[in-house]
Amino acid sequence: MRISTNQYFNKNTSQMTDNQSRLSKLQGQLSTGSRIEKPSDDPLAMATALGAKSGINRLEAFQGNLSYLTNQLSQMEEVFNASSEVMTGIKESMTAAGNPILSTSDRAVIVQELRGRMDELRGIANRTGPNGDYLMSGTNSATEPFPAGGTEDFLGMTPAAAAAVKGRSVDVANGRQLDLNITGYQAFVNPNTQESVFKTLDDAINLLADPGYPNTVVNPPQTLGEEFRAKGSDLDKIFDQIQLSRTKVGVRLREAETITQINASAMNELERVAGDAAGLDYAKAISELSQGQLQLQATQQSFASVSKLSLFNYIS
Amino acid sequence: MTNSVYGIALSGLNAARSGLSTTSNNIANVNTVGYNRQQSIQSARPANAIGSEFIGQGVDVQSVERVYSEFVAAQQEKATSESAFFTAKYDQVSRIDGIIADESSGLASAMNDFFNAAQVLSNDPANMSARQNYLSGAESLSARFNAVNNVMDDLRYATDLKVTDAVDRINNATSQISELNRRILAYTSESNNRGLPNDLLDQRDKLVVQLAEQVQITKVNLSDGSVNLFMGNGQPLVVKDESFKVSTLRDPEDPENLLVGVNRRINGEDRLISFDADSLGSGALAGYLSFRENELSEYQNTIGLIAAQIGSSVNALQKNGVDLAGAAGLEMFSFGASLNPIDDFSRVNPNAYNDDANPVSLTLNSIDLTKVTGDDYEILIRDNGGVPTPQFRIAGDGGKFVDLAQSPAGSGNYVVPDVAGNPVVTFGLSALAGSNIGDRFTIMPTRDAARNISIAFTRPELVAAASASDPQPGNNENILAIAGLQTTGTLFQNFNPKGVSVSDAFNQMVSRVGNKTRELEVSSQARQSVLAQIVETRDAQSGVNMDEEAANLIKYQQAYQAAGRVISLSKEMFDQILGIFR
Repeated sequence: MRISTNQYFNKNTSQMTDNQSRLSKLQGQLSTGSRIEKPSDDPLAMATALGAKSGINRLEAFQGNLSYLTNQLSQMEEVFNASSEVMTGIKESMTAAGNPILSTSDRAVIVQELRGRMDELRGIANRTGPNGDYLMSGTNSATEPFPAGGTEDFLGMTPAAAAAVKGRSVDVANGRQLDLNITGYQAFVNPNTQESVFKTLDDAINLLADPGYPNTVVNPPQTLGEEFRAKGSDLDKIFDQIQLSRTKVGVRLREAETITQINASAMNELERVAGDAAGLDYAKAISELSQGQLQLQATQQSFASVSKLSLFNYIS
Repeated sequence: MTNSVYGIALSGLNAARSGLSTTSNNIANVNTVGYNRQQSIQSARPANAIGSEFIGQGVDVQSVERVYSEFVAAQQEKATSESAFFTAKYDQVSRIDGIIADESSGLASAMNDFFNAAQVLSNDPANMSARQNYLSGAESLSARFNAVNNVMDDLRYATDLKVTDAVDRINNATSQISELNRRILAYTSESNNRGLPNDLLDQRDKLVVQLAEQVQITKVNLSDGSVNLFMGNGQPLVVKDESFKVSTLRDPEDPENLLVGVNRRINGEDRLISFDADSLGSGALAGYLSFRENELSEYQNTIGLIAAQIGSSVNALQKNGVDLAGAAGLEMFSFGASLNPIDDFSRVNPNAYNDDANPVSLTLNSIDLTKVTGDDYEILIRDNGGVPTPQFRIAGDGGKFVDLAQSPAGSGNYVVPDVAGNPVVTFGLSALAGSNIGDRFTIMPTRDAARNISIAFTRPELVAAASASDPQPGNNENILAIAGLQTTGTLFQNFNPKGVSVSDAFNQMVSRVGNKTRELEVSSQARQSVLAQIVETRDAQSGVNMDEEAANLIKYQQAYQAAGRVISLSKEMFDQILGIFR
């Protein structure tokens, strides 16, 4: 076949340019570690990778929520552990105060002790998180749940309003939310009498401090002593509430841990999907690169030597 | 006898010289684009009958011809147009392909960041730094929408420049071709026997290929050596020594677009009869127009739709909730100064040729973003037995105009439905007169959303994270609902009420852009290799080969030397004869 001189040069330059552009693409892939740089490189894989990446992103957000939740619930667990301890002490004192042979001064000592423990319990129930929010106030996080010198009702609310105070839920997985709070109403208020632990304790202390304790009839047919014992069983009920809350927190923490693990393995799976779709097969890319280099070199060498040939070299 | 030997030798000398000139010319033009190699065609002179024998009389140079195939040239023009069409379109689409999924500039990461910030805020809704982080996420999301839209606006503007450039090139080429036609005609009309001016033909062929790159052409070769050229839609470009200009004009339906056409006088006023991309066939010009009419508008509208849906859904939830101070939430995204979202993210373009006597205004009443597609709509006021009646069609698909229903009937609130019959856009018209018949409007439901979106406040305490039913600083119900928007199917509910979420809608668009770019890349590569093959065929036939020319040089040099030798030989013979008488 006849070919023209220009054709020969054009063909060789275009082959070299093609080789170079293939090499530059391979180099780009090797340096980014990604097989696809733009959607048109592989539209399906790009869509898969984008979908997987936004899935990973959401899971990361969920994991963030879970770690916040775990942190918050652990602080609550601390609250309930500490309150249980204090409540045990209170129960011991209450039992001791029920002994009829105690002198007035002995009772005064117990009254002091109970007041101390009540302050301690109040401090625990009014604990704040690291950001200054009251842990036990539910969504009313800026309000102290059981302020000293107040009505001793949760957030100063009527029982109905207090019962309606919500905790806050956060997303922890697709379509799955977990509650972040247990409110002071749920943990520290007697569900039968609607009285808080602080009101009941205050009443009990006042009864004990009364000079007519235990036999004066204050509230026919009950004597001071009988009323004091009734307060004692009310406190037992609240102690149960605290234990129940502690269990609830423990269950939620375990659940959070399970979901964290599920999310982590889902993330691994999505990473794998994204990697399969867009990731680079290094072995293949490197062998293609060296093959391309060889081709370019061969083209250049053959061009350089063949292009020297011309009949004009022999016309003198 | 010697006389005829002299004559024969001389004719050989002349023929060899002509061959040498032709060869030198070929060598000189080895790198001239569009040059077809030339051959000197020799033929033997008619012989003299001497006695019973015929004795040859030497050689004539009959003509110098170019090695040229009309068939290959026609194929090259066609292949050039097709390759230019796909390459032009591919070049434009690949600009979008390059940025749409980019990690740092793409929308996907900005959307993820915004919704993740909402998730973080839901943990601790009273936390000021979490609020600030969320607000910053919203700000960078709107900035990203602006930037992506900016690329598309740039591409629209670039298309205008390319259209202007293509029109200049077309007019330039056609005027040169008509001038070459004139000069060629001047030669050929003088005498039928003269050869064709090869170099003028080469120049003209080169210009025709350059013209074909811009626009598909039909070429008619005339016997007098001139060519007539027509566009794909029959519009003449060159007829003999006359050329016809094409012009540009702002699109009467969208002043952002530049159109191409020819000027015609209609009812005493100059109007541009515009060509749409389809009627032009192939060529770069059609490629640019087709990209703008189809892909660019669709992508820009889709990005706008996602921006409009995120913005208006978040605004609706903001207004349902309460801010940190317990006050009712304000809109967080703004689409413009008029504070009417519909006017701010949609665009209504009245046609520039609409009636001036009774100018009609079109007011959008509602847009259902859950049903909006990437389409724009054309509204035409038609003559319904003398009553001006509005009709609609989807812009750019060249379909039939269809009457619009009113809801409620007779209210003047016209309803544009989607394919499934759901209302998408509703609008009202000011009073119509008979003179309004033929008036047109274009409705672009979400064209300006990504361009205009911005955040409406910068104070983090204004984020309405809490629900109005529990207006407490620790309540996160409203921000949870906002975070949920990422995966709720709020778009494209036309056929499936479950719809498509904003993230999925974006991912689907990325996939459409990728597929379209890939398709155009493959088409443009295929057309380029077809063109390359044709050019190769042309080069193989008509290109200069230096080795061949070197051989020809030797051949003609030897012929010249030999003819010269014959002359000196015949002189010797003549001297010999004279010597007899000495």
